[in-house]
Amino acid sequence: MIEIVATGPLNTVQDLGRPGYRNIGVTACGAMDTLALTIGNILVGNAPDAAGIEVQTFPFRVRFSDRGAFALTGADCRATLDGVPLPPWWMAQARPGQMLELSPPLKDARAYLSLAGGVDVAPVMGSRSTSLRGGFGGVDGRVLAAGDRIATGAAADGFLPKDGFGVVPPAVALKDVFPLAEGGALVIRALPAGEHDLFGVDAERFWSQQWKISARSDRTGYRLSGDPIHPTEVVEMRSHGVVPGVIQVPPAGEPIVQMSDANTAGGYPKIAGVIEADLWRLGQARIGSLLRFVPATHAEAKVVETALAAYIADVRKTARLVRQALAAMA
Amino acid sequence: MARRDRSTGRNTIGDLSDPALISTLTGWLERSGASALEITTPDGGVLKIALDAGARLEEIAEPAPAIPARPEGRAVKAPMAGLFRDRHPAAPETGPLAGEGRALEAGAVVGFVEVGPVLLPVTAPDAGVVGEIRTRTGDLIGYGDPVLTMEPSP
Repeated sequence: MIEIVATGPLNTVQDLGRPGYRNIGVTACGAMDTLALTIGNILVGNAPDAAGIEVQTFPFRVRFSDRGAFALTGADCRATLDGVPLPPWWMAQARPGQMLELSPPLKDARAYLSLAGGVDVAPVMGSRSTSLRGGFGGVDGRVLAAGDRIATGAAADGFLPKDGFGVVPPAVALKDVFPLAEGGALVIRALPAGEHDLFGVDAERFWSQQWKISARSDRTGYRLSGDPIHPTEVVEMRSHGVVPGVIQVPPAGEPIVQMSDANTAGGYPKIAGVIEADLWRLGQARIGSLLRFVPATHAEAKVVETALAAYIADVRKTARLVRQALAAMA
Repeated sequence: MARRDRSTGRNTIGDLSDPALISTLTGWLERSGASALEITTPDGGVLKIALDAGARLEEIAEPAPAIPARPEGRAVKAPMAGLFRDRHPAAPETGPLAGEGRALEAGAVVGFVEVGPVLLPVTAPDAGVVGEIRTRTGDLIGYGDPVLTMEPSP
């Protein structure tokens, strides 16, 4: 059990999402950086579908009522446990009464707090993710508030090192498969989508310019600011299914990237779709930051996805071996 | 023969039968050029270490009752074999976590051992000041290898 002592306004319980219900208009939700949540769950020995807390506004403070292991992944929030600094991407053990404090990150946007046993809230349609629009999932379908007490499930058996341990963050371990920022802009790979060619010469400007993530961006989608792009002709489109990563262009010409709380359907023309393996990086992009899209192929997307899966598998395997070895020496 | 009495109760020594402590003290003794030392704790625990000419050590340890460990300085050792990192890989621009002469709290992370994608902390067992750095970042180190030494805080 933990108690939320202080929290910003938009922090929620999230797992890997609620797929499979878009046909009845249910947004998938789930962590904006599923990679960070996945690693956090591995560090505390949880099943991959365990729910954690997505922290995107700060400061965030929790007090542990019981002894328990926890992990912090994603944005480096210069976390402290009773004032003692913790490294980023780290698992540690808390004693009853200890206070964990997260400060605003200097880069990246979202941190994930994983608790051994996972956040114990009732799954709704197979997921514990909070759907703010639907008002269900997570803690009563709402954002976390000071005073909330969050229960955890039964922690898995197994030794966890008392001094904690962590991982080489994916941005470092996978630096060869993720493009470097260009001129301060995050480089995100995308596949041209259905209406790409409708934009004619403007499509070129979609790829070449730097877009700024506007203040009207949230878990539903990022609205980008920049030099507007328009289709060569106005077409009437029927509503079609939409998933996270789809980049739509509304009539004003500034794109919207659908994110974890993506609408289930939309009617704006789609110029491109962010490759799935880059979505977690986009999920860490901050309001006001710059990004540029580069065209990718399915084959390239597959290579990145494979590298990402290999990193996760390597972390899972090595963490298990290291825990066993330390248990034997303890 | 060097003799130091610990009658004030400050800087208590801890378990005098701890091999790591004896080994550390013996190392100091060898480097200092003295031939023997004797430590008496307020509660009657006695540790005598005498060096034979050329011999490594001869020890007579009488176990003292459990006292919170606060040795006079000791090696901070690697928890597992791997690559030593003197700072977190996500923060290459920062300085090393433990530079020589830096004061550290007990439990402070002085570096990491990288085992594949996993990082294990190298932690200071006691508060103190970083003495000698024994391992450079990127070095392959073994389990129990000294990463650095720590001296008690002045």
